[in-house]
Amino acid sequence: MALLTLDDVTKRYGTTTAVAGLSLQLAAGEVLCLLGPNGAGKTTTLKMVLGLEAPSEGAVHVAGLDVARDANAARQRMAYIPERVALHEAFSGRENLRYFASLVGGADLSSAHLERCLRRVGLQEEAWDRRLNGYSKGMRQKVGVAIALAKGADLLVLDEPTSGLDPKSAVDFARLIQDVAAEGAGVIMATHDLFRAKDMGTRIVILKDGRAVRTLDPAESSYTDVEDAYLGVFETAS
Amino acid sequence: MSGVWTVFRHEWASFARSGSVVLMVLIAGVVGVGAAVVEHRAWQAEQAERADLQAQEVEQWLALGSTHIHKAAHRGYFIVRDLPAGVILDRGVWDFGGSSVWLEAHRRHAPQLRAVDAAAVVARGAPRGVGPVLLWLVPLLLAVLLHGIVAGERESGSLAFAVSSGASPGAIVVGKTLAAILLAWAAVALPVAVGAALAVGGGLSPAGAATWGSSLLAALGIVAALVVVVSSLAKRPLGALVALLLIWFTMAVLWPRLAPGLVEQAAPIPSSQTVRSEAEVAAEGLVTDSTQEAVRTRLTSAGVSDPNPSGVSAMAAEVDAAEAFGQIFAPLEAGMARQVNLLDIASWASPLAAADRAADAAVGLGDRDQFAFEARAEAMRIGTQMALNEGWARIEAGDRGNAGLWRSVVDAAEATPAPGPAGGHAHWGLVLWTVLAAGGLLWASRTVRTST
Repeated sequence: MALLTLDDVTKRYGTTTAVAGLSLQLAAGEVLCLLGPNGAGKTTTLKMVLGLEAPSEGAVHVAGLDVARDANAARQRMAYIPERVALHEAFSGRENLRYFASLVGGADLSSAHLERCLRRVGLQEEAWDRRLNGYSKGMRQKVGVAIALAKGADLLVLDEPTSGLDPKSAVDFARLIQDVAAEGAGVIMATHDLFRAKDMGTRIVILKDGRAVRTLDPAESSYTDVEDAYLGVFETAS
Repeated sequence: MSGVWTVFRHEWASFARSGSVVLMVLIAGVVGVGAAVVEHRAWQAEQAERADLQAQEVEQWLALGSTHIHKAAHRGYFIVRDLPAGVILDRGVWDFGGSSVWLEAHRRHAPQLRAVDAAAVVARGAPRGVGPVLLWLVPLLLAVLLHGIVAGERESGSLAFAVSSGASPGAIVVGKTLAAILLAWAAVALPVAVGAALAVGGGLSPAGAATWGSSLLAALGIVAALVVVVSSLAKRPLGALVALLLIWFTMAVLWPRLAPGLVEQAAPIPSSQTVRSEAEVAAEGLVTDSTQEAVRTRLTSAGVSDPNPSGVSAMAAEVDAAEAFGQIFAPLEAGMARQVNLLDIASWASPLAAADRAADAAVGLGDRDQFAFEARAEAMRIGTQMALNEGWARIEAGDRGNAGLWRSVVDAAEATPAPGPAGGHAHWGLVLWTVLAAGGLLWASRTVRTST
């Protein structure tokens, strides 16, 4: 059974159609990268996956759960990592991890497990008990992934996760996500970063006007292929 | 439920780390306890002066000795209202009116309700009371400190992160609301405890103090919930702050000042002078012959074999007048009751006003208590006059005075029972606002879900 299924999903805001008849499937262990220009429908698609927006037509299922009807249960199977992971500044990384993981019933909140998660994402130990207002963006992303690990998420939903990261942090983050996927999680990621998509993805879908216009297999595509496909969308858009 | 508990604990820990929240608790504590101590001292001072004044009045009466009875009838007598210790907690509906009554026993002279300082120089006690201070200050502090409790998280993105992490929106709103309510209660816990202890020590019933305290806590709990609701509905923290300050101004400042004037216009009470004039006319029309016979029978059965005819006549006239006043006062009392009920209903527009009025009644200083004191004053006047006239009727011809008369007059005045307990409808305003706040929280839960 597919971990994530979008079945002919459409989302309209008034007269504007943000996503039009999009169908996707994602299996465990896959990293699906959504590429596309601004307004292509990437973020709207992720919001529908997360249950933050209801589809106008079609359905989204996560691990067999209809997200529109059972959003909370579906979200407990997912972890969301936005461009800037918004945590609570007055608390430390460890406290944020405990809080956000505990919002999901049934997560293992033992100190040993949480410390394993922090170690797993590579957050320096000296930072664990420091307040978040001293954290870099990359460190926040790591806490976000640690939360995903702590709650045992099956599906990671990433929205421009490497935007604004320094090159080393971006590479580290990409490796981390690949490792998590290799351990059985599914990953859907919206990004503008063609090369990161090529590096991380097991599949690339290029969106335009809310439709999937190209699907690429990164293993069989060169950087140039991905770039050409992406720029081709821009050219036809203009 | 575990989600609610998690959010509650986290929010509470967040409060504990916030310097401004700790400062708020300190400010409310210091101001509230300070008010309790200051009001307690003011109450003690005024109570002592009132007691002293009353003692002087009695002493002067008793010192009159044998005096012509007609002079005695014109000798006024101040009954000073006992100042309840509840004034430490809440000043009541009226600062001053009718804290003493001038009883002039001469027939048909109305009792005159006066401020204590009209009778003597007495310090004015309890300018604010603990309750009004806290009901004014704490909602303002809650608005300033907690306006971003949800809106701030929405703006920073942590709300979306929490919801998309699997937290139930309802659990977030309810957990934050419980934390905000507990914060409001923690801020006033010490002042409420100190104020209540001082008031109970001064004679307020524990039940009255408990009712006062629960009204205050209910109102502040409602306000804390409303802060969360507004913060949930606002798109940005600044918008929430502006909205909350406007709501606070309307509820805590504007409406309590506007409502009495509006109610007075909607349901005016005829002046007591008008009522008394009508009563005098009505009394003139009453036949006193049968009343005189009844009075004579009563005196005879009391062992007065040859009652003074003037005394009998005066007593009969007073009985008739009392009956006439009773008839005329019925619509006046109904008008008062109507106005008081309307004031209660008007207070429902604001949980703070409703709590204030509920607290007034709880500490024995509500407008029902005030009207009750006025009714008692009238009863005392009649009782005093009857005692005076009975004494007169007992006096044999030639003996125009009696030193023992004054004691019986004073006893008659002081023996007049206080009216029954004063109730009210203001607490229904708190019930109404509790329901509204719960509805608002439900709505806020939906907003959190759709707007993130």
